[in-house]
Amino acid sequence: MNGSAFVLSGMALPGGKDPLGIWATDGPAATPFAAGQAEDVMVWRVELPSSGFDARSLLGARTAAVSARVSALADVEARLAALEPTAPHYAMGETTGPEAALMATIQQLAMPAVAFDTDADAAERFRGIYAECQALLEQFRRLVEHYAWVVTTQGGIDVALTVVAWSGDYDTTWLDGVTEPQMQLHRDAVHLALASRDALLRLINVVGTGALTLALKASVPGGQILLLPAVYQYVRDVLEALEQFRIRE
Amino acid sequence: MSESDLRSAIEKFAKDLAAKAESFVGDIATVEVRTFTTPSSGFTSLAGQRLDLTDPTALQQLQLRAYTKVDFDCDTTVCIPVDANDQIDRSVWDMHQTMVNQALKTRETMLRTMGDALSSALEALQRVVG
Repeated sequence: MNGSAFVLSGMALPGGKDPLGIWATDGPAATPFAAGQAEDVMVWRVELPSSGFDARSLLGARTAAVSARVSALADVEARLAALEPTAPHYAMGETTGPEAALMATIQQLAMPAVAFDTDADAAERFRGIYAECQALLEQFRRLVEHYAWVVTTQGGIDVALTVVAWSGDYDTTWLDGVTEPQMQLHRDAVHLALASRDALLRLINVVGTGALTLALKASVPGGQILLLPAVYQYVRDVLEALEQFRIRE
Repeated sequence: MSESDLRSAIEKFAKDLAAKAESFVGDIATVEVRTFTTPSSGFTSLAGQRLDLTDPTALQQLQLRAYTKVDFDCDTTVCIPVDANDQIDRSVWDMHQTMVNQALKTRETMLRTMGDALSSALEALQRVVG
């Protein structure tokens, strides 16, 4: 338990962070799963305060944040599709922000032997992002295949638990005497968890499709595989920038 | 970490996904929704374990109150909760119905997600293998 009101356990996200910034993560090693079972489930734990108003506000804010990230992902996808790595203004370095970083990486990858032989830091950094990408692929598989457990607690008391199989089966356990407002909180919590799962799957699809498209455009040796880490980093950077913009607005 | 590691990871991912897709059609042919109640707030001890309904220990904690099974052609099997007077327990029934609707929406979303994922994975696999 890390004190956060929204905690995802059983999923080792790259860098230990939810790339969408919705959930705090609590890696598989830190969960109290029995041996042999940690691979099968992810637990989305929603811990809410006793005050119904505060609980609804917290849940509403997180749900709105997921919707905002999904909209932002559509923007990211469009920006990725519009990138032309061979266009003169990119080649001349006349761009800034995440696009500039991505283009620099593409140019570096276009001559990997030269780049990594002469830049040990870049090679090390790239290996790190590689590891994150491999982890991301694994987590995509887990997201699709495994059970999602959604636990709602209010004021420190477990109110309800829903187990969602990947095929859509639902098993829900309610605490005796649960109130209608508590039921609504749990239904919203399940909705938030599943919307977050879909958003993560969408993010990974955007990364994969973006890497493939850029690989074709830039003719990078190694193609999509080499570009996955750079595009993943790009998507995270743009999402972060859009979130900062949204907060300022 | 090498390129071949990541290549292997993509190949494994795509193959696993394809294998899963084979069983997916069978898995989504029906949706089952169960609603339980429990007298004790002990979900933390359950979290992360399989809900094994043949396990007497688990059954001691949980009471099955309602059950719905919806086939792909919309044939439906329903077990309705009743109270001590054999009247329909509206509160349990209402929350069960809500979860049934949510489960059907989840199935629809997963169908779409699987379609997108398979399409992307197969495209990636073709590039990797090619």
